[in-house]
Amino acid sequence: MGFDKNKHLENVLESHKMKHVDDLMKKSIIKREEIKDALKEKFGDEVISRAINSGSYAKHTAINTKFDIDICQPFRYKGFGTLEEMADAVYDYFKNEYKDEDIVSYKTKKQRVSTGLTFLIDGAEIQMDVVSGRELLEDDYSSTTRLNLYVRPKNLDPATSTQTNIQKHVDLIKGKGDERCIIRLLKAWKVSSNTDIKSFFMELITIRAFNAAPEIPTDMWGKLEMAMEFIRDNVKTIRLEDPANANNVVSDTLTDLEKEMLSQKMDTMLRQINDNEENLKIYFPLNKQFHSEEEKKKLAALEMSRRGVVSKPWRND
Amino acid sequence: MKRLLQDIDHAIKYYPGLEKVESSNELRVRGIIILKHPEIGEYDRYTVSISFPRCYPNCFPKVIEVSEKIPKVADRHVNSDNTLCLAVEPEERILCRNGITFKYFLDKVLVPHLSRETYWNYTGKYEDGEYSHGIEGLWEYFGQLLNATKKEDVLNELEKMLHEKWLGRNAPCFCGKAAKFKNCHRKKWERVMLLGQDYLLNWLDILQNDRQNSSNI
Ligand SMILES: [Zn+2]
Repeated sequence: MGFDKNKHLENVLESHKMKHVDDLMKKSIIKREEIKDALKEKFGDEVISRAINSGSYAKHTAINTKFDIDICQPFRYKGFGTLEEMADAVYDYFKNEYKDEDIVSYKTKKQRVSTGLTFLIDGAEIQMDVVSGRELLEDDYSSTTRLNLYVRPKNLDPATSTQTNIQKHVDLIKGKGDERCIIRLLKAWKVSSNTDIKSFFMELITIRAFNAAPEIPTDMWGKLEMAMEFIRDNVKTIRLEDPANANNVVSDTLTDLEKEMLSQKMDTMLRQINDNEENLKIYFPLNKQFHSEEEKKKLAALEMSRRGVVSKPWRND
Repeated sequence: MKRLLQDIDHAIKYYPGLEKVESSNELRVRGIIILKHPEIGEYDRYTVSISFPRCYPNCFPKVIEVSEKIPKVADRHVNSDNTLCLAVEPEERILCRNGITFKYFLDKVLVPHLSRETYWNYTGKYEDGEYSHGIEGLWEYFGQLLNATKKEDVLNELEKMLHEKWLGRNAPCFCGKAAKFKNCHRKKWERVMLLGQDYLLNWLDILQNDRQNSSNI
């Protein structure tokens, strides 16, 4: 009796659905395609193919409070002298040359493996990472989809390069409906609690949680609980490798302290929710902005339920 | 039978998702009930299968919710035979005492009931409460009907109403207060007596038996 955790989680997913931002999404996709066109036009001889979609939207793990329309542009092996030249050429082009009145140009920035673009569309900031990668060998990409990325220096870490396979990342989550739901829920938690964890990290650890489970619970809360318990128990020690490149250790993107805190957060949430189910609403809130439609329906149901002649329902066995 | 058919035909004009299904031994109404609010529009829909027991129109039709939006558990007012539990029995009896029409049932009973369940699906609760399981729910119902909060008072009131001699509207009220009956217990009496003397005597018996092993409401 009372609060239904599964129903609530379904509502959370529903209120975070991309369809609520359909208009914004359509406009964002137009921007994305314009960027792809521009890259092809600008670097005509150097590009192998049109850029591919690589963001959460492409992976079906996007939520409407935070989504990105990232792309990855594959370049020819002979396109640039060095990986750094390639990465900087893309950055310079968008920083200095490319014109779009919706781009917030001071926010165009060099990121670890990409150029970050920010669009302001209908008052919403849309983030787009343009990853540039170079094929490993001449004419290798079309058959392997492998790319080398330039990794910019950060703090004390010097510049390096990494081999990856963006297409493989997109494919990784294909057909994994359960995992995608849990990833979206964990993202909703992440955004609402301002927790900064890389989405790719969350995706990989969630997939591992499902793989490690002897039996997958059938209900939504059961699945979420299972994933949260797995994160709590394993985040500090687990090694998460980029499925496209075992040398790229994704779990290293969090420090030990960050891992410890993530484990503790999971522990706290699980205990609070077990103490009182309704605490689930605190950690996994509805997206109020798109709850209004639900709120309306809820009120409609309440109002109409009061137009009857029966005073109260009876729980009869 | 002809009257029942007319009754149904009239009602489903207002519920285009519903249709009559006639088979050799019974008549059912099946289909979709779209819940609409005059301003907000559609807020839910259910698929139902409705049959008409012998007691109809002096009792409610039997409704099975087949879209499975309502879990088949007593907590959600579903009887063990999968029909919806729409009201406590005496309340249903009062509402149907003069016979009901199918449209009245849909408008005033089923749609509000389904709306209540929709509200539950959104919030996990019934905003206006519900009667408890089984006999306890009946105590609550009679308590409300008689304006009594204690089981003892429910029994006393019922007993007086059923057993005190009728002395006329202007006589002192049977409850012992100084007021005339017409100014005191009349309204309550009229309301309760809609259930009928025999029916009430039967309930009084049930409640008295139950009183042995239970505490207050
Ligand atoms: Zn009186």
